[in-house]
Order: sequence, then structure tokens, then C-alpha cells
Amino acid sequence: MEHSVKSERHAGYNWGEPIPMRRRRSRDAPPDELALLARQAQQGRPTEVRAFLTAVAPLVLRAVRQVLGGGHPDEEDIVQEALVGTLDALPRFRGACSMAHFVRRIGLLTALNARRRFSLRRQIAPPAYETDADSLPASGNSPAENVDAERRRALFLALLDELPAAQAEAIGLHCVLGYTVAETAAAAGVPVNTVRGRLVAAKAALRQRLAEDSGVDELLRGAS
Amino acid sequence: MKKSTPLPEDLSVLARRGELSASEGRRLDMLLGASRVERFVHALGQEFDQTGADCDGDQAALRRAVDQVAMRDSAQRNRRGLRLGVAFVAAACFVTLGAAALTVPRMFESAPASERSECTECPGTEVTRTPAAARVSGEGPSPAEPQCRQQGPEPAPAMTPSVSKSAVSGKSRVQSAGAQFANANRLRTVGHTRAAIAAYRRLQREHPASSEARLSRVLLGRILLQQGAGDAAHRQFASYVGTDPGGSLTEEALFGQATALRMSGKTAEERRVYQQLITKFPRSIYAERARERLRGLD
Repeated sequence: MEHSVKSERHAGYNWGEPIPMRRRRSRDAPPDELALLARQAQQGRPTEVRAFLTAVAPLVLRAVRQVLGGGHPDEEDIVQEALVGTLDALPRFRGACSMAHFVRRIGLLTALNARRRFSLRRQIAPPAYETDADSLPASGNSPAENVDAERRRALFLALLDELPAAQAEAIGLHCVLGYTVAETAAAAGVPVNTVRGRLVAAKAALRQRLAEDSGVDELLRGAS
Repeated sequence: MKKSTPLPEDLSVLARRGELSASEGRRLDMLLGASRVERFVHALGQEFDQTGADCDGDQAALRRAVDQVAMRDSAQRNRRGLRLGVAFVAAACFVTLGAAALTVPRMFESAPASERSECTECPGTEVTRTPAAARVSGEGPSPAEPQCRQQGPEPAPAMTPSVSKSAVSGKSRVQSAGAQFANANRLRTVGHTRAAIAAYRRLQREHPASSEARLSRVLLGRILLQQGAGDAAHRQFASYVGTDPGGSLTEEALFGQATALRMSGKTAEERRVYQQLITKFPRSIYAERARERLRGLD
């Protein structure tokens, strides 16, 4: 798909959008220490900004790594980008979800945006190498299983690039970061049923993609 | 408190977190058995969890990232403070000048122009005559006492808001950079190369400072390269590298620049660009090709 079209469609990826106030966290929920740190960081004192960044950086790294895969050469840069985005978005955090979910969502969306930039680069000049079993991170699986897993990831992430932004975000938060439907709704600032609808649509697109992929049987064998 | 039944969509997520009860586990098994998409998504989720695991060197990398971002944030706040100060001073100046511009003309407009005439006795002075109505009512000086006052400088013309042509004509006809870029890309993809070249050039002319125009230099450079226009391609790539040395396509631009130079037979410059590429991006796939070419040149 054409990059520019994609980038226009995905212009809706704006993690700075204000989150509706209607779903405040329950009073019984444990105190959100990260939110406390965030509030202090917003005062602008360097030590408090640093303390907040130190606390959230591992969460951001994990989200970025889940999208880009382990050992990506630009991982550190993307983490920096996501941390900058987090600081910029802090004034718009309304407490509808936990700060950890808010931060990880920013990490996910930043990484997905970065992936699209990389795919533009690949479109201009395809890399001279192909993924093989040896280049994949060791996970205790056989090389064949690693290749299947990598293909599954590639197929899924390519689908995220093509889906409308809202659906891609919903299935990204749900499947990649492992948010429940309610958590996804709180993080994205939409009702639960809207998230369920988006997940259904995204899974229908995935089903279609699986039907078109000739090697899908191998992938599903690996998945079972 | 009774635990609510999880949604079917959440069963996989809860399994990944290890929070599934035996009955929920059975529900998940049934779900996975019935739908291959769910099976696929469940397997993917587990793989994503594995991928996100910690690695050696994470701590150091995170410390570096935090340092960079904290430094940047601090610098940004300082700049913002400075900008606020400058804006405040500028606003104060603006208000003072505005007040002066309003007051000074009024001082010179105390009498209507028709009633002004030059005093014959004292050149450079102006005689102000009181209007007839005022004279009749007895207000103001008598007709025998014309008032002389030193003629001041010409009062500044009254300020009128400047209205730009585009504001008058309404919406500007120039397409946005994003729309032009999308259009040019579409033309390139469907194979209308000449139209795509024209569209990229128009984008660069009309929105020279936009990020789309910067990106278009690499895309246009590659088209020109394919068409054998080495010099024109070189100019495009060099312009990208010159204006955006840290851009995301710098590797491609440098490699394209070297290829264009090779096409034009400028070996010395080609060598220099390849060396620049290797120095800047030693781990790039282009660096390997550059090394190969340099070996060939040697």
C-alpha cells in the first residue's frame, strides 16, 4: 500500500488526544504511584522529571520491543521518541486509565509509527537480506518454530499498517500489549462496546488475510 | 464480592496473565478450538509477551534514553521561559506604540481642517478659527483673537488593518504539502513517471520547507536515477542530505548520491560520499555495498 495514503489514514494516531472524563478509575483502585510521579514531573523540576522518566522507561521499552522485535537497531531512538511524547502528553492525562497503561499505549503507537517509517524506507530500497532462523532472538524454540513465529508477527504487524487507525490501535492494545477490552476502552477513551466492535472488524480483516495467505496452515500449526 | 464473568475476548489476555480459573480455561480451549483467528491471536499474544522480555544492556540503554530526554526537556523549558520573556517585552512595546499612535493624531485633529489657515504674520503657524455656532453661543475665543499655534509635523496616517489578498479571496488554491505528496506518490506508483516528477517538483517549489518536500527529494532522486539523469538526481539527494543531515532517509540519500556521481563519472566525489556513508552508518546494508564499491575502485 502507498505510504502517503497510509500516513494520511493513520494521521488519527494521536496519543495526546484528551480522554473523556466519564470513566474515572474506581476509588477502590490502588493508588497510582506513576500518576503521582507524573503530577510532580509536570511541575518541571529536573529531578522529578528524571524520576518519572526512570520509572516509565522500562514500560515504554517493553511496548516498543513488542512491536519492533528484540534487538532492533533503532530501539533506543524509538524509546526516546516515546518518552518525549509521554512528557508532551502528560497535561492531557485525565486519569481514565492507569498511568502505566497510558504510557505503554504511547510506546505502542510510537513504535507502530516508526514501523511505518521503516516500511517507507524498505519501499524505497528493499533490504539486502531476508529474515532467517539464525537472525531471530533465541527463545528456546526450534529454528522452524522461530521462523513461523516471526512470520505470524510480520503478517499481523503488516495488517496493523493497513487497518484504519482506530481498529489498529484497538487490536494493538489488546493483542500486543495484552489489555482487556475494558482497559483498551479506558486507554483509548471510547466505550467498551466500541472497542468490541473494532476488535471484531480487525479480526475479520485478519481472517481475510489468513485466507489469502497460502502458508497459513503452517502458521496455524505453529500456533496450535 | 462475586467475580464477574470475563468477556470472551478477554480470556486469552487473562490466560497470558495467568489469571484464568479452571472453568474459564475450558471456555478458552473451546474458543480456540472453534476459531483459527482466535488461535492465531492467542499464539501471537504469547509471542509478543516473550518478545518484550528484558535483555542484557537494557539498563544502560534506558539510562541513556532517560538522560537524553531529561536534558532535552530541561532545555525546552528554558527556551520556553526565554520566549515568554521576549513575548512579554514585545507585547509591552506594542501596547505603548499603539497608545502613542492613537494619541498623537488626536492632538493635531483638535480643529477641523476647513477651519485651518496659515497665519500671514507668522509663517509656519496655523490660525484656528472657532466655528460660527460656537461664536454665536459665546463659547470660545472672540473672532478678533485668532489663535496661533506652531504647526507640528504631519500627523501619522491612521492605521488601517491590512487585509491580505488570500484572506479576501477566501480559501487558498495551493494544495497542502501532504495532498501534493500523496498525489505525486500515487502517480509514481501507477507508472506515470513524468507526471510524478512534475508533481514532486511542484511540491518542492510550493512547500519548500515541508517535511514532504524533504522526503520527495529522495523519491525524485531515485526516479531521476532510473531515468539516467545523474546530475539532476545528485542535486536532489545532495539537497536532502544538506537540509536534513539527520533525516530518516539519509542512508538512502547518501547511497543514491554516490550512485548518481558514479553515473556522472565523478569517481573522486563518489568515493568521498561512500566514505561519508560508511562513517555515518557503519552497520547499514548500504555501508557493506559501499565498502564493496570502494574495494572495486581501489
